[in-house]
Amino acid sequence: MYRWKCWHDSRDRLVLYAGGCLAVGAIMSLGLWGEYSRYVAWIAVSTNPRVKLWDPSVDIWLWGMRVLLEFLLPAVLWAALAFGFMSVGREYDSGAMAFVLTRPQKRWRIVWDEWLLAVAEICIVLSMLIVGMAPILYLISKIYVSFTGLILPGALAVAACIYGLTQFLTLLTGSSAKGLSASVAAILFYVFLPGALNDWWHISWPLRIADLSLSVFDIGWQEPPRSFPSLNVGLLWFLVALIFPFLSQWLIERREV
Amino acid sequence: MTETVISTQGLTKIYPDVRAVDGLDLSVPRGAVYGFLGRNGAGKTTTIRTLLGLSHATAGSAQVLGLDIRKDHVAILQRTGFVSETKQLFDSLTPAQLVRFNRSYFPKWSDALVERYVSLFEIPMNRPFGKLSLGNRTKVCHLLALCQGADLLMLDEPTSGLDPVMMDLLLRVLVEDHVSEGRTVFISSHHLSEVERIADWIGIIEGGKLVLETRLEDIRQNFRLITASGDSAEAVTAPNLISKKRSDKFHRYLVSREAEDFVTRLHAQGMTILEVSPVNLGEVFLGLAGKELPCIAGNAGTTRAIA
Repeated sequence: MYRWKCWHDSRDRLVLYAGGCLAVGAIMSLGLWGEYSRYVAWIAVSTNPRVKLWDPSVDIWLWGMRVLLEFLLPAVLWAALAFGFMSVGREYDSGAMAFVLTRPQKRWRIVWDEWLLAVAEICIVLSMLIVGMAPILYLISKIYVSFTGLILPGALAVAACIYGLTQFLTLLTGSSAKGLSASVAAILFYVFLPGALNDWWHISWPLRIADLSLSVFDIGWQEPPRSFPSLNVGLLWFLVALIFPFLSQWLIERREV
Repeated sequence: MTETVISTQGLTKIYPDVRAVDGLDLSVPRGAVYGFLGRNGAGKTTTIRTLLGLSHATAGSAQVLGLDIRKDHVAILQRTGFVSETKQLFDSLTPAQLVRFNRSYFPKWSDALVERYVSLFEIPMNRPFGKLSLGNRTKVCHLLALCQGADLLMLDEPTSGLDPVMMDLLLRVLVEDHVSEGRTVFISSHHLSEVERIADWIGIIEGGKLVLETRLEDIRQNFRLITASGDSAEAVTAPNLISKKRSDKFHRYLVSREAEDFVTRLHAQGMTILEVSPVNLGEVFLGLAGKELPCIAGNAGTTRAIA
Protein backbone atom coordinates (compact mmCIF):
# COMPACT_ATOMS: atom_id res chain seq x y z
CA MET A 1 0.00 0.00 0.00
CA TYR A 2 1.02 3.59 -0.58
CA ARG A 3 1.27 4.13 3.18
CA TRP A 4 4.06 1.58 3.29
CA LYS A 5 5.93 3.41 0.54
CA CYS A 6 5.53 6.70 2.43
CA TRP A 7 6.83 5.03 5.57
CA HIS A 8 9.76 3.57 3.65
CA ASP A 9 10.68 6.99 2.27
CA SER A 10 10.19 8.94 5.48
CA ARG A 11 11.51 6.66 8.21
CA ASP A 12 15.13 7.80 7.91
CA ARG A 13 14.02 11.40 8.09
CA LEU A 14 11.82 10.58 11.06
CA VAL A 15 14.74 9.04 12.95
CA LEU A 16 16.97 11.99 12.08
CA TYR A 17 14.49 14.68 13.08
CA ALA A 18 13.31 12.83 16.19
CA GLY A 19 16.92 12.28 17.25
CA GLY A 20 17.68 15.95 16.61
CA CYS A 21 14.71 17.08 18.67
CA LEU A 22 15.61 14.68 21.46
CA ALA A 23 19.14 16.08 21.53
CA VAL A 24 17.91 19.69 21.46
CA GLY A 25 15.46 18.89 24.28
CA ALA A 26 18.21 17.27 26.33
CA ILE A 27 20.61 20.19 25.79
CA MET A 28 17.91 22.69 26.73
CA SER A 29 17.11 20.73 29.85
CA LEU A 30 20.76 20.75 30.92
CA GLY A 31 20.73 24.55 30.72
CA LEU A 32 17.50 24.58 32.65
CA TRP A 33 18.95 22.30 35.32
CA GLY A 34 21.99 24.56 35.66
CA GLU A 35 19.71 27.55 36.17
CA TYR A 36 17.58 25.67 38.66
CA SER A 37 20.63 24.49 40.62
CA ARG A 38 21.94 28.04 40.77
CA TYR A 39 18.65 29.27 42.19
CA VAL A 40 18.50 26.47 44.71
CA ALA A 41 22.08 27.18 45.82
CA TRP A 42 21.30 30.92 46.03
CA ILE A 43 18.24 30.21 48.17
CA ALA A 44 20.27 27.88 50.40
CA VAL A 45 22.87 30.52 51.21
CA SER A 46 20.44 33.42 51.31
CA THR A 47 19.69 34.96 54.70
CA ASN A 48 16.60 36.74 53.43
CA PRO A 49 13.60 34.93 54.96
CA ARG A 50 11.38 35.82 51.94
CA VAL A 51 13.88 34.22 49.62
CA LYS A 52 14.07 31.20 51.88
CA LEU A 53 10.32 30.72 51.46
CA TRP A 54 10.46 31.00 47.64
CA ASP A 55 10.04 27.76 45.69
CA PRO A 56 11.75 28.37 42.33
CA SER A 57 10.42 25.22 40.74
CA VAL A 58 7.25 26.79 39.24
CA ASP A 59 9.07 29.75 37.75
CA ILE A 60 11.95 27.64 36.44
CA TRP A 61 9.50 25.14 35.05
CA LEU A 62 7.50 27.87 33.30
CA TRP A 63 10.71 29.38 32.03
CA GLY A 64 11.65 25.95 30.71
CA MET A 65 8.27 25.76 28.98
CA ARG A 66 8.92 29.11 27.33
CA VAL A 67 12.28 27.91 26.10
CA LEU A 68 10.61 24.74 24.84
CA LEU A 69 8.02 26.78 22.95
CA GLU A 70 10.79 28.88 21.41
CA PHE A 71 12.11 25.69 19.85
CA LEU A 72 8.73 24.13 19.21
CA LEU A 73 7.62 26.74 16.68
CA PRO A 74 10.62 26.27 14.34
CA ALA A 75 10.37 22.52 14.89
CA VAL A 76 6.72 22.62 13.82
CA LEU A 77 7.56 24.63 10.72
CA TRP A 78 10.54 22.50 9.81
CA ALA A 79 8.86 19.13 10.33
CA ALA A 80 5.61 20.11 8.61
CA LEU A 81 7.32 21.64 5.59
CA ALA A 82 9.92 18.87 5.28
CA PHE A 83 7.32 16.09 5.43
CA GLY A 84 5.01 18.11 3.18
CA PHE A 85 7.77 18.56 0.64
CA MET A 86 8.04 14.78 0.36
CA SER A 87 4.29 14.23 0.04
CA VAL A 88 2.40 12.67 -2.87
CA GLY A 89 2.85 15.65 -5.20
CA ARG A 90 6.50 14.75 -5.61
CA GLU A 91 5.44 11.70 -7.60
CA TYR A 92 4.81 14.18 -10.41
CA ASP A 93 8.47 15.20 -10.23
CA SER A 94 9.68 11.62 -10.40
CA GLY A 95 7.17 10.69 -13.11
CA ALA A 96 5.68 7.93 -10.93
CA MET A 97 2.24 9.51 -10.54
CA ALA A 98 0.78 7.34 -13.30
CA PHE A 99 2.06 4.27 -11.45
CA VAL A 100 0.53 5.48 -8.17
CA LEU A 101 -2.82 6.24 -9.74
CA THR A 102 -3.04 2.95 -11.61
CA ARG A 103 -2.79 0.91 -8.41
CA PRO A 104 -6.30 -0.35 -7.64
CA GLN A 105 -7.28 1.82 -4.71
CA LYS A 106 -9.56 4.75 -4.07
CA ARG A 107 -7.57 7.90 -4.60
CA TRP A 108 -8.71 9.45 -1.33
CA ARG A 109 -6.79 6.71 0.46
CA ILE A 110 -3.53 7.95 -1.00
CA VAL A 111 -4.07 11.39 0.51
CA TRP A 112 -5.46 10.31 3.86
CA ASP A 113 -3.03 7.44 4.45
CA GLU A 114 -0.17 9.78 3.81
CA TRP A 115 -1.66 12.58 5.90
CA LEU A 116 -2.28 10.32 8.88
CA LEU A 117 1.20 8.83 8.70
CA ALA A 118 2.84 12.25 8.39
CA VAL A 119 0.87 13.69 11.31
CA ALA A 120 1.87 10.68 13.42
CA GLU A 121 5.50 11.15 12.44
CA ILE A 122 5.40 14.89 13.15
CA CYS A 123 3.82 14.07 16.52
CA ILE A 124 6.76 11.78 17.30
CA VAL A 125 9.27 14.45 16.23
CA LEU A 126 7.66 17.17 18.34
CA SER A 127 7.23 14.84 21.30
CA MET A 128 10.93 14.20 21.28
CA LEU A 129 11.56 17.81 22.25
CA ILE A 130 9.44 17.29 25.31
CA VAL A 131 10.84 13.83 26.01
CA GLY A 132 14.35 15.29 25.86
CA MET A 133 13.45 17.77 28.57
CA ALA A 134 11.19 15.52 30.60
CA PRO A 135 13.77 13.99 33.02
CA ILE A 136 15.03 17.39 34.12
CA LEU A 137 11.52 18.84 34.27
CA TYR A 138 10.61 15.88 36.44
CA LEU A 139 13.49 16.61 38.79
CA ILE A 140 12.47 20.26 38.97
CA SER A 141 8.83 19.54 39.64
CA LYS A 142 7.22 16.13 39.88
CA ILE A 143 3.81 17.76 39.94
CA TYR A 144 4.02 20.02 36.89
CA VAL A 145 5.81 17.63 34.57
CA SER A 146 2.51 15.96 33.80
CA PHE A 147 1.29 19.24 32.29
CA THR A 148 4.19 19.45 29.86
CA GLY A 149 2.36 17.50 27.20
CA LEU A 150 -0.41 20.11 27.11
CA ILE A 151 1.64 22.28 24.81
CA LEU A 152 1.73 19.51 22.23
CA PRO A 153 -1.87 19.34 20.85
CA GLY A 154 -1.95 22.95 19.70
CA ALA A 155 1.50 22.73 18.13
CA LEU A 156 0.60 19.45 16.47
CA ALA A 157 -2.60 20.93 15.06
CA VAL A 158 -0.62 23.82 13.57
CA ALA A 159 1.88 21.33 12.14
CA ALA A 160 -0.94 19.23 10.66
CA CYS A 161 -2.35 22.37 9.09
CA ILE A 162 0.98 23.38 7.53
CA TYR A 163 1.65 19.82 6.38
CA GLY A 164 -1.82 19.57 4.82
CA LEU A 165 -1.37 22.93 3.11
CA THR A 166 1.98 21.84 1.66
CA GLN A 167 0.60 18.47 0.58
CA PHE A 168 -2.27 20.22 -1.17
CA LEU A 169 -0.03 22.76 -2.85
CA THR A 170 2.43 20.12 -4.10
CA LEU A 171 -0.54 18.31 -5.65
CA LEU A 172 -1.97 21.52 -7.06
CA THR A 173 1.29 22.67 -8.60
CA GLY A 174 2.41 19.15 -9.57
CA SER A 175 5.81 19.80 -8.06
CA SER A 176 7.24 19.41 -4.58
CA ALA A 177 9.52 22.43 -4.95
CA LYS A 178 6.75 24.69 -6.21
CA GLY A 179 4.38 23.37 -3.55
CA LEU A 180 6.91 24.05 -0.81
CA SER A 181 7.58 27.56 -2.11
CA ALA A 182 3.88 28.32 -2.28
CA SER A 183 3.38 26.95 1.22
CA VAL A 184 6.20 29.08 2.66
CA ALA A 185 4.74 32.10 0.88
CA ALA A 186 1.32 31.36 2.38
CA ILE A 187 2.82 31.08 5.87
CA LEU A 188 4.69 34.35 5.47
CA PHE A 189 1.51 36.03 4.30
CA TYR A 190 -0.35 34.64 7.29
CA VAL A 191 2.28 35.93 9.69
CA PHE A 192 2.99 39.32 8.17
CA LEU A 193 -0.10 40.39 6.23
CA PRO A 194 -2.34 40.99 9.29
CA GLY A 195 0.30 43.30 10.79
CA ALA A 196 0.61 45.14 7.49
CA LEU A 197 -3.16 45.52 7.19
CA ASN A 198 -3.30 46.86 10.71
CA ASP A 199 -0.42 49.32 10.24
CA TRP A 200 -1.29 50.56 6.75
CA TRP A 201 -5.06 50.48 6.63
CA HIS A 202 -5.98 50.11 10.32
CA ILE A 203 -7.81 46.88 9.70
CA SER A 204 -7.21 45.17 13.00
CA TRP A 205 -9.34 42.04 13.00
CA PRO A 206 -6.92 39.92 10.92
CA LEU A 207 -4.18 40.75 13.41
CA ARG A 208 -6.39 39.80 16.33
CA ILE A 209 -7.20 36.48 14.68
CA ALA A 210 -3.54 35.83 13.86
CA ASP A 211 -2.47 36.68 17.42
CA LEU A 212 -5.14 34.45 18.87
CA SER A 213 -4.24 31.58 16.56
CA LEU A 214 -0.54 31.85 17.40
CA SER A 215 -1.29 31.83 21.12
CA VAL A 216 -0.78 28.07 20.99
CA PHE A 217 2.93 28.95 21.10
CA ASP A 218 2.57 31.20 24.13
CA ILE A 219 2.39 30.44 27.83
CA GLY A 220 1.44 32.61 30.79
CA TRP A 221 3.12 32.91 34.19
CA GLN A 222 0.20 31.52 36.18
CA GLU A 223 0.40 28.15 37.85
CA PRO A 224 -0.22 25.28 35.42
CA PRO A 225 -2.52 24.37 33.84
CA ARG A 226 -3.90 27.94 33.77
CA SER A 227 -0.68 29.11 32.14
CA PHE A 228 -1.35 26.99 29.06
CA PRO A 229 -3.12 28.30 26.00
CA SER A 230 -6.72 27.30 25.58
CA LEU A 231 -7.15 23.96 23.89
CA ASN A 232 -10.01 25.53 21.92
CA VAL A 233 -7.51 27.36 19.75
CA GLY A 234 -5.73 24.07 19.10
CA LEU A 235 -9.07 22.50 18.23
CA LEU A 236 -9.77 25.29 15.75
CA TRP A 237 -6.36 24.73 14.18
CA PHE A 238 -7.16 21.05 13.92
CA LEU A 239 -10.48 21.75 12.19
CA VAL A 240 -8.70 24.05 9.74
CA ALA A 241 -6.05 21.35 9.29
CA LEU A 242 -8.75 18.89 8.20
CA ILE A 243 -9.76 21.16 5.34
CA PHE A 244 -6.53 20.58 3.44
CA PRO A 245 -6.61 16.78 3.08
CA PHE A 246 -10.21 17.13 1.94
CA LEU A 247 -9.05 19.66 -0.66
CA SER A 248 -6.22 17.32 -1.68
CA GLN A 249 -8.70 14.46 -1.94
CA TRP A 250 -10.98 16.56 -4.12
CA LEU A 251 -8.03 17.49 -6.31
CA ILE A 252 -6.50 14.03 -6.70
CA GLU A 253 -9.86 12.49 -7.56
CA ARG A 254 -10.17 14.89 -10.49
CA ARG A 255 -6.56 15.23 -11.46
CA GLU A 256 -5.34 13.96 -14.81
CA VAL A 257 -1.84 12.69 -15.38
CA MET B 1 -20.49 -13.56 -30.46
CA THR B 2 -16.95 -12.80 -29.35
CA GLU B 3 -16.73 -11.21 -25.95
CA THR B 4 -15.03 -7.82 -26.00
CA VAL B 5 -12.56 -6.83 -23.34
CA ILE B 6 -12.22 -3.22 -24.40
CA SER B 7 -15.08 -1.46 -26.06
CA THR B 8 -15.35 2.26 -26.76
CA GLN B 9 -18.18 4.21 -28.31
CA GLY B 10 -17.31 7.63 -29.66
CA LEU B 11 -14.60 8.07 -27.06
CA THR B 12 -13.31 11.62 -27.26
CA LYS B 13 -10.65 13.46 -25.33
CA ILE B 14 -10.13 17.13 -26.03
CA TYR B 15 -7.31 19.14 -24.48
CA PRO B 16 -7.38 22.92 -24.73
CA ASP B 17 -4.99 22.85 -27.65
CA VAL B 18 -5.69 19.53 -29.33
CA ARG B 19 -8.37 16.95 -30.02
CA ALA B 20 -6.26 13.98 -28.86
CA VAL B 21 -8.89 11.26 -29.29
CA ASP B 22 -11.76 11.89 -31.63
CA GLY B 23 -14.79 9.64 -31.59
CA LEU B 24 -12.90 6.40 -31.11
CA ASP B 25 -14.80 3.13 -31.55
CA LEU B 26 -12.55 0.30 -30.43
CA SER B 27 -13.47 -3.31 -29.97
CA VAL B 28 -10.86 -5.62 -28.50
CA PRO B 29 -11.89 -9.28 -28.29
CA ARG B 30 -11.04 -11.44 -25.28
CA GLY B 31 -7.89 -13.50 -25.64
CA ALA B 32 -6.51 -11.36 -28.45
CA VAL B 33 -3.16 -9.69 -28.82
CA TYR B 34 -4.31 -6.33 -30.08
CA GLY B 35 -1.73 -4.06 -31.66
CA PHE B 36 -2.77 -0.45 -31.29
CA LEU B 37 -0.69 1.42 -33.81
CA GLY B 38 -0.23 5.03 -34.63
CA ARG B 39 2.30 7.72 -35.23
CA ASN B 40 3.69 9.90 -32.46
CA GLY B 41 0.86 12.00 -31.11
CA ALA B 42 -1.82 9.97 -32.87
CA GLY B 43 -3.69 9.44 -29.59
CA LYS B 44 -2.51 5.99 -28.49
CA THR B 45 -1.29 6.94 -25.05
CA THR B 46 -4.21 9.28 -24.41
CA THR B 47 -6.58 6.44 -25.26
CA ILE B 48 -4.87 4.12 -22.78
CA ARG B 49 -4.78 6.81 -20.10
CA THR B 50 -8.46 7.49 -20.60
CA LEU B 51 -9.32 3.81 -20.39
CA LEU B 52 -7.37 3.52 -17.12
CA GLY B 53 -8.84 6.65 -15.56
CA LEU B 54 -5.66 8.71 -15.73
CA SER B 55 -7.51 11.21 -17.88
CA HIS B 56 -11.20 11.83 -18.18
CA ALA B 57 -13.06 11.40 -21.43
CA THR B 58 -14.60 14.57 -22.82
CA ALA B 59 -17.32 12.59 -24.59
CA GLY B 60 -18.29 9.05 -25.45
CA SER B 61 -18.20 5.97 -23.30
CA ALA B 62 -15.99 2.96 -22.79
CA GLN B 63 -16.00 -0.37 -21.03
CA VAL B 64 -12.95 -2.32 -19.99
CA LEU B 65 -13.53 -5.95 -18.95
CA GLY B 66 -17.23 -5.14 -19.09
CA LEU B 67 -16.84 -2.35 -16.52
CA ASP B 68 -17.59 1.31 -17.10
CA ILE B 69 -14.41 3.41 -17.06
CA ARG B 70 -16.10 6.29 -15.26
CA LYS B 71 -17.69 4.28 -12.46
CA ASP B 72 -15.56 1.19 -11.96
CA HIS B 73 -12.01 2.31 -12.48
CA VAL B 74 -10.71 0.65 -9.30
CA ALA B 75 -12.20 -2.70 -10.35
CA ILE B 76 -10.69 -2.23 -13.81
CA LEU B 77 -7.26 -1.51 -12.35
CA GLN B 78 -7.56 -4.59 -10.14
CA ARG B 79 -7.73 -6.77 -13.26
CA THR B 80 -5.48 -4.79 -15.59
CA GLY B 81 -1.71 -4.85 -15.77
CA PHE B 82 -0.33 -1.59 -17.11
CA VAL B 83 3.12 -0.69 -18.36
CA SER B 84 3.37 3.01 -19.03
CA GLU B 85 5.21 4.67 -21.84
CA THR B 86 7.58 6.39 -19.39
CA LYS B 87 8.55 3.22 -17.46
CA GLN B 88 8.77 5.27 -14.30
CA LEU B 89 8.23 3.75 -10.86
CA PHE B 90 9.50 4.84 -7.43
CA ASP B 91 13.18 5.71 -7.68
CA SER B 92 13.79 5.08 -3.98
CA LEU B 93 12.59 1.47 -3.98
CA THR B 94 14.47 -1.57 -5.23
CA PRO B 95 12.68 -3.99 -7.56
CA ALA B 96 12.31 -6.36 -4.59
CA GLN B 97 10.59 -3.61 -2.62
CA LEU B 98 8.47 -2.68 -5.62
CA VAL B 99 7.31 -6.28 -5.80
CA ARG B 100 6.41 -6.13 -2.12
CA PHE B 101 4.58 -2.84 -2.66
CA ASN B 102 2.68 -4.05 -5.70
CA ARG B 103 1.80 -7.46 -4.30
CA SER B 104 -0.43 -5.92 -1.65
CA TYR B 105 -2.83 -4.56 -4.28
CA PHE B 106 -3.47 -7.74 -6.20
CA PRO B 107 -5.10 -10.84 -4.69
CA LYS B 108 -4.05 -12.97 -7.68
CA TRP B 109 -0.40 -11.97 -7.39
CA SER B 110 1.97 -14.83 -8.19
CA ASP B 111 5.32 -15.09 -6.42
CA ALA B 112 6.14 -18.12 -8.57
CA LEU B 113 5.93 -15.90 -11.64
CA VAL B 114 8.13 -13.31 -9.92
CA GLU B 115 10.82 -15.94 -9.44
CA ARG B 116 10.46 -17.12 -13.01
CA TYR B 117 10.67 -13.67 -14.61
CA VAL B 118 13.41 -12.34 -12.35
CA SER B 119 15.55 -15.23 -13.46
CA LEU B 120 14.43 -15.09 -17.09
CA PHE B 121 14.83 -11.33 -17.53
CA GLU B 122 17.95 -11.16 -15.33
CA ILE B 123 16.55 -8.37 -13.19
CA PRO B 124 18.83 -6.92 -10.50
CA MET B 125 16.43 -6.97 -7.56
CA ASN B 126 18.43 -5.06 -4.98
CA ARG B 127 19.46 -1.89 -6.76
CA PRO B 128 17.23 1.17 -6.36
CA PHE B 129 14.95 1.59 -9.35
CA GLY B 130 16.31 5.09 -9.94
CA LYS B 131 19.77 3.66 -10.55
CA LEU B 132 18.70 1.06 -13.10
CA SER B 133 19.27 1.37 -16.84
CA LEU B 134 16.26 2.03 -19.09
CA GLY B 135 16.26 -1.61 -20.17
CA ASN B 136 16.18 -2.87 -16.59
CA ARG B 137 13.49 -0.36 -15.68
CA THR B 138 11.39 -1.67 -18.54
CA LYS B 139 11.91 -5.23 -17.30
CA VAL B 140 10.81 -4.28 -13.77
CA CYS B 141 7.69 -2.58 -15.13
CA HIS B 142 6.83 -5.75 -17.03
CA LEU B 143 7.60 -7.91 -14.01
CA LEU B 144 5.04 -6.02 -11.94
CA ALA B 145 2.40 -6.13 -14.68
CA LEU B 146 2.92 -9.77 -15.58
CA CYS B 147 2.80 -11.15 -12.04
CA GLN B 148 -0.40 -9.54 -10.85
CA GLY B 149 -2.64 -12.13 -12.47
CA ALA B 150 -4.31 -9.57 -14.70
CA ASP B 151 -7.01 -10.47 -17.21
CA LEU B 152 -5.85 -7.65 -19.45
CA LEU B 153 -2.37 -6.30 -20.07
CA MET B 154 -2.13 -2.76 -21.43
CA LEU B 155 1.40 -2.14 -22.60
CA ASP B 156 2.39 1.26 -23.89
CA GLU B 157 5.58 0.99 -25.96
CA PRO B 158 6.49 -2.23 -24.14
CA THR B 159 9.91 -2.87 -25.60
CA SER B 160 11.53 0.54 -25.27
CA GLY B 161 15.06 0.14 -23.95
CA LEU B 162 15.14 -3.63 -24.35
CA ASP B 163 17.88 -5.31 -26.32
CA PRO B 164 16.81 -7.71 -29.13
CA VAL B 165 17.26 -10.77 -26.91
CA MET B 166 15.08 -9.39 -24.14
CA MET B 167 12.59 -8.07 -26.67
CA ASP B 168 12.27 -11.54 -28.13
CA LEU B 169 11.93 -13.05 -24.67
CA LEU B 170 9.25 -10.60 -23.63
CA LEU B 171 7.17 -11.19 -26.75
CA ARG B 172 7.41 -14.95 -26.23
CA VAL B 173 6.40 -14.62 -22.59
CA LEU B 174 3.41 -12.51 -23.55
CA VAL B 175 2.19 -15.08 -26.02
CA GLU B 176 3.13 -18.30 -24.23
CA ASP B 177 2.35 -17.37 -20.62
CA HIS B 178 -0.51 -14.99 -20.99
CA VAL B 179 -2.40 -15.18 -24.24
CA SER B 180 -2.36 -18.98 -24.11
CA GLU B 181 -4.26 -18.70 -20.81
CA GLY B 182 -7.03 -16.64 -22.36
CA ARG B 183 -5.76 -13.25 -21.26
CA THR B 184 -5.84 -10.24 -23.50
CA VAL B 185 -2.83 -8.15 -24.41
CA PHE B 186 -3.31 -4.62 -25.71
CA ILE B 187 -0.05 -3.25 -27.11
CA SER B 188 0.36 0.35 -28.11
CA SER B 189 3.37 0.83 -30.28
CA HIS B 190 4.84 2.31 -33.38
CA HIS B 191 7.32 -0.55 -33.71
CA LEU B 192 5.51 -2.50 -36.37
CA SER B 193 7.80 -5.50 -36.43
CA GLU B 194 7.18 -6.46 -32.81
CA VAL B 195 3.45 -5.98 -33.17
CA GLU B 196 3.33 -7.93 -36.42
CA ARG B 197 5.11 -10.78 -34.71
CA ILE B 198 2.59 -11.43 -31.98
CA ALA B 199 -0.61 -9.51 -32.69
CA ASP B 200 -3.70 -11.10 -34.12
CA TRP B 201 -5.75 -7.90 -34.18
CA ILE B 202 -4.65 -4.50 -35.39
CA GLY B 203 -6.10 -1.06 -34.77
CA ILE B 204 -4.54 1.96 -36.43
CA ILE B 205 -5.21 5.39 -35.00
CA GLU B 206 -4.46 8.59 -36.86
CA GLY B 207 -5.30 12.08 -35.67
CA GLY B 208 -7.28 10.60 -32.79
CA LYS B 209 -9.53 8.58 -35.10
CA LEU B 210 -9.48 4.84 -35.63
CA VAL B 211 -8.74 4.42 -39.32
CA LEU B 212 -8.49 0.66 -39.40
CA GLU B 213 -9.42 -2.25 -37.14
CA THR B 214 -8.96 -5.73 -38.51
CA ARG B 215 -7.38 -9.12 -38.00
CA LEU B 216 -3.72 -9.31 -38.96
CA GLU B 217 -4.55 -12.50 -40.80
CA ASP B 218 -7.04 -10.54 -42.86
CA ILE B 219 -4.31 -8.12 -43.89
CA ARG B 220 -2.11 -11.00 -44.99
CA GLN B 221 -4.83 -12.82 -46.90
CA ASN B 222 -7.05 -10.12 -48.37
CA PHE B 223 -5.29 -6.78 -48.39
CA ARG B 224 -3.61 -5.92 -51.67
CA LEU B 225 -1.49 -3.07 -52.93
CA ILE B 226 -2.35 -2.24 -56.53
CA THR B 227 0.06 -0.17 -58.58
CA ALA B 228 -1.40 1.36 -61.71
CA SER B 229 -0.71 4.12 -64.19
CA GLY B 230 -3.11 6.30 -66.11
CA ASP B 231 -4.90 9.63 -65.92
CA SER B 232 -8.37 8.95 -64.54
CA ALA B 233 -7.21 7.52 -61.24
CA GLU B 234 -8.50 10.30 -58.98
CA ALA B 235 -12.08 9.42 -59.76
CA VAL B 236 -11.79 5.83 -58.56
CA THR B 237 -13.57 5.13 -55.30
CA ALA B 238 -14.79 1.97 -53.63
CA PRO B 239 -15.85 0.84 -50.16
CA ASN B 240 -12.91 -1.53 -49.96
CA LEU B 241 -10.41 1.18 -50.89
CA ILE B 242 -8.40 2.04 -47.78
CA SER B 243 -5.96 4.51 -49.21
CA LYS B 244 -4.72 5.84 -52.48
CA LYS B 245 -1.45 7.61 -53.07
CA ARG B 246 0.09 9.15 -56.11
CA SER B 247 3.78 9.11 -56.77
CA ASP B 248 5.54 10.55 -59.76
CA LYS B 249 4.01 8.39 -62.48
CA PHE B 250 2.06 5.79 -60.55
CA HIS B 251 -1.05 5.45 -58.45
CA ARG B 252 -1.02 3.07 -55.52
CA TYR B 253 -4.25 1.72 -54.09
CA LEU B 254 -4.55 -0.21 -50.87
CA VAL B 255 -7.67 -2.34 -50.85
CA SER B 256 -8.93 -4.46 -48.00
CA ARG B 257 -10.74 -7.14 -50.02
CA GLU B 258 -11.94 -8.12 -53.50
CA ALA B 259 -8.84 -6.77 -55.18
CA GLU B 260 -9.88 -8.42 -58.45
CA ASP B 261 -13.09 -6.38 -58.61
CA PHE B 262 -11.14 -3.22 -57.97
CA VAL B 263 -8.61 -4.10 -60.66
CA THR B 264 -11.51 -4.62 -63.08
CA ARG B 265 -12.85 -1.16 -62.25
CA LEU B 266 -9.43 0.39 -62.83
CA HIS B 267 -9.20 -1.37 -66.19
CA ALA B 268 -12.64 -0.08 -67.08
CA GLN B 269 -11.41 3.46 -66.46
CA GLY B 270 -8.47 2.98 -68.77
CA MET B 271 -5.84 2.48 -66.10
CA THR B 272 -2.92 0.17 -66.69
CA ILE B 273 -2.31 -2.27 -63.86
CA LEU B 274 1.38 -2.67 -63.16
CA GLU B 275 1.32 -4.82 -60.06
CA VAL B 276 -1.02 -6.39 -57.54
CA SER B 277 0.86 -7.52 -54.48
CA PRO B 278 0.11 -8.76 -50.96
CA VAL B 279 0.99 -6.28 -48.24
CA ASN B 280 2.57 -6.42 -44.85
CA LEU B 281 1.59 -4.41 -41.81
CA GLY B 282 4.19 -1.75 -42.53
CA GLU B 283 2.72 -1.03 -45.94
CA VAL B 284 -0.79 -0.83 -44.52
CA PHE B 285 0.39 1.49 -41.77
CA LEU B 286 2.21 3.76 -44.20
CA GLY B 287 -0.75 3.65 -46.54
CA LEU B 288 -2.98 4.97 -43.78
CA ALA B 289 -0.67 7.12 -41.74
CA GLY B 290 2.22 7.87 -44.08
CA LYS B 291 2.83 11.42 -45.24
CA GLU B 292 3.67 12.77 -48.62
CA LEU B 293 7.21 14.05 -48.86
CA PRO B 294 6.91 17.82 -49.26
CA CYS B 295 8.41 19.51 -52.32
CA ILE B 296 11.83 21.04 -51.93
CA ALA B 297 12.36 24.34 -53.76
CA GLY B 298 13.94 23.70 -57.15
CA ASN B 299 12.93 20.09 -56.99
CA ALA B 300 9.25 20.49 -57.78
CA GLY B 301 7.56 17.57 -59.45
CA THR B 302 9.74 14.93 -57.84
CA THR B 303 7.66 14.45 -54.71
CA ARG B 304 7.02 10.81 -53.95
CA ALA B 305 4.66 9.17 -51.55
CA ILE B 306 6.55 7.25 -48.90
CA ALA B 307 4.33 4.29 -49.55
